[in-house]
Amino acid sequence: MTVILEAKNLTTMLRNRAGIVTAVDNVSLKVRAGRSLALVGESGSGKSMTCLSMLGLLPSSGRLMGGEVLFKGRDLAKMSPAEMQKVRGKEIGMILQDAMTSLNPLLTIGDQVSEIFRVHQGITNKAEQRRRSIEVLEKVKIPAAEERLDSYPFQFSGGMRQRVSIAINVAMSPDLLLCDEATTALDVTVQQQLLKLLRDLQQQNNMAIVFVTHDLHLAAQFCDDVAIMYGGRIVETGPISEVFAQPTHPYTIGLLNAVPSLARYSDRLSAIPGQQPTLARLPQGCRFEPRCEHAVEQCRSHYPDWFEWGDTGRRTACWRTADSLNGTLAGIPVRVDKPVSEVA
Amino acid sequence: MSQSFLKVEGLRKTYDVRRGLFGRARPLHAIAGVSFEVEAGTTFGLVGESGSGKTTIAKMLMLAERPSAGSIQLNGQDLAGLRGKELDKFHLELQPVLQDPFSSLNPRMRIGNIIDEPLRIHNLLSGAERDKRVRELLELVGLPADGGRRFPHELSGGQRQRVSIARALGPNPKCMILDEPVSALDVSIQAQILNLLKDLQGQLDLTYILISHDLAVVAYMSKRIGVLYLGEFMEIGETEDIVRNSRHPYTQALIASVESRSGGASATMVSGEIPSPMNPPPGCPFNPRCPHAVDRCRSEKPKLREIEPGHWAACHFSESIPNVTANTAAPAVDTSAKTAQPHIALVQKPVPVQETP
Repeated sequence: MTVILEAKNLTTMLRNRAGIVTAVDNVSLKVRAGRSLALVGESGSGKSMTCLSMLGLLPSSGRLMGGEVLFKGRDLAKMSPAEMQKVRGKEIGMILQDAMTSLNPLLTIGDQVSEIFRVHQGITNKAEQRRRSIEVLEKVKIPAAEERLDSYPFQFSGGMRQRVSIAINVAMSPDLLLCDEATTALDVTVQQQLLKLLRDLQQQNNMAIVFVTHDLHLAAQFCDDVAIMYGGRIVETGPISEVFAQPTHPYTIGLLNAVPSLARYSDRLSAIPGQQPTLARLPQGCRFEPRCEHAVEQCRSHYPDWFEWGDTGRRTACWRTADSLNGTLAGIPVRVDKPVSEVA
Repeated sequence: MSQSFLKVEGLRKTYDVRRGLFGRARPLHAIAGVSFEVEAGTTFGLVGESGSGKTTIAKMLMLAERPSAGSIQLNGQDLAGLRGKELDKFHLELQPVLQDPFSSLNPRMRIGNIIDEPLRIHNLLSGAERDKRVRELLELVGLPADGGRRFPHELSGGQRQRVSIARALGPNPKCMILDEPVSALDVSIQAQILNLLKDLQGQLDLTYILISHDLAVVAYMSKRIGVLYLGEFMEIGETEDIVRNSRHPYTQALIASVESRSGGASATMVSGEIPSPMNPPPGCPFNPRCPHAVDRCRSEKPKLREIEPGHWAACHFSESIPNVTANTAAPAVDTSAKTAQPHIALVQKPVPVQETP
């Protein structure tokens, strides 16, 4: 499978009240055609900044300090803003959390969808723009697409607005789609509908997807691979089914256990103590060390090297990965989960 | 059930909505008649999608909105009749914790003053006693006792939500209305706050009304659950009944949506979205989205009926629809293309399939 996007050692600095901080620290990731990569982390972990860095959309307080963003062989990091403008929206789509803020409230849906045909394909004929807009709205299953073209965003429900946003972003059949918390603001039933839509579109176009979310379970359902971020760095990555079956980084394990589940009744959730460090005051060694019950001396002084194993691309930035893998990490239950069918 | 702490009967809230300047007012039934009881010292969970009326119920319970019809009784006393001192006392007994700890704390007040404010307003304690109480409260919610001088912006989301909880606990309430208390927080922090709320409930014998769109959160916290849709209950029952043996297609759809995320799966994905309460569909409110709907559902509105002791459902076919649990169903989003089914549930209890009478 062709690698569509490969980011190498991305480092992004931000200037904020606390001074200059490293929001994205040496992040590398790879997405193949037709596959989805979940970028999972809590707020402030750097997942959105990673996306914005790759697209050249950093706020004025931010700057990409190093690294390459290889998209179909070209380095996006070296492109001029004008060149990037041609790539964004055409070859790379990006869907944001709330379509109410990403759509212009003063323009009709039709105006906003047809813009993409005008800008990227130079279609100026109004009737043709309209015809194509209807086509793409039907593709994202908006009922009565023709009538809805003249509606405004506020007349749409949250789910429908997000469909419009998807329509605009897949209209040019991009090779890569970045979804930044695209379904977070929606009701669970609608969330499921949109995931199905995204999966169908992905299969039609063999699109690569980067799915940014804080919801591990949603990521597990939708994606093939996962990269878990903490404090601006990726701490664990690999095929999502493997990472879930055998999480190794204490943060990943903590996250999985912290979420209440209907299938697993418990009197008490095992919460991760403490909170994420602020970027201005990162611990000297491993960033998770202050919250980690398995930290040893080495974790306090040195940021862990990557521990890599197997041939599926799994790697974890934790000094104790070997202990975790052979089950000697005290307190961490090593889980060998069975498929659902066997449990039932 | 022992003496119920809170008893709500036939509660309704209708807003008149006027389209345009001279448009005719049309009624919007935000809450179309709900009844439920909450046992003292337990949690009652209200779950539903946005627009289902969860928060409207909470507002009426706090007397922030007057009900259009129906009654709310707290310890046998009707809230509508409360005046003066009694009303003040009621407001002390029932305290809210709101969703967004960023907007529910005044950014210009210090944490200590925020927690102190309800005590001050109600003249509960003398100055020195109040300072002591603030320190106690901070410790109770797991914050440093000497942190009262700090401002909200110096705290993280989880810490702010702890401040909200401390403020609510100040007047020694008997009941707290928790309106989406964790949905604005990060996953690893959510568990901390939920555990804290559970601990406080045990320590202080509090009754909770928990409002959330997240069925897993509600199931974790609650003894009984009411599932709301378009301002009406679709199903009410003990948590176990709702989660393991749901008898309403809407509840089943919610379970399916949650379960398919946790690597388990679901039977059918519901189509469409919640309709506008301005134009509720005829018959059963859920019929346009229901996979089991037949003609009867489109014409005749099902009544909420008790199908097992303590388990109520508003569906004509409660007894005959198939059960949906994590273990029995097919995936909502087709994951068959993948190599392996991601699956993180640790222990899955075998589900006894109950015969409904």
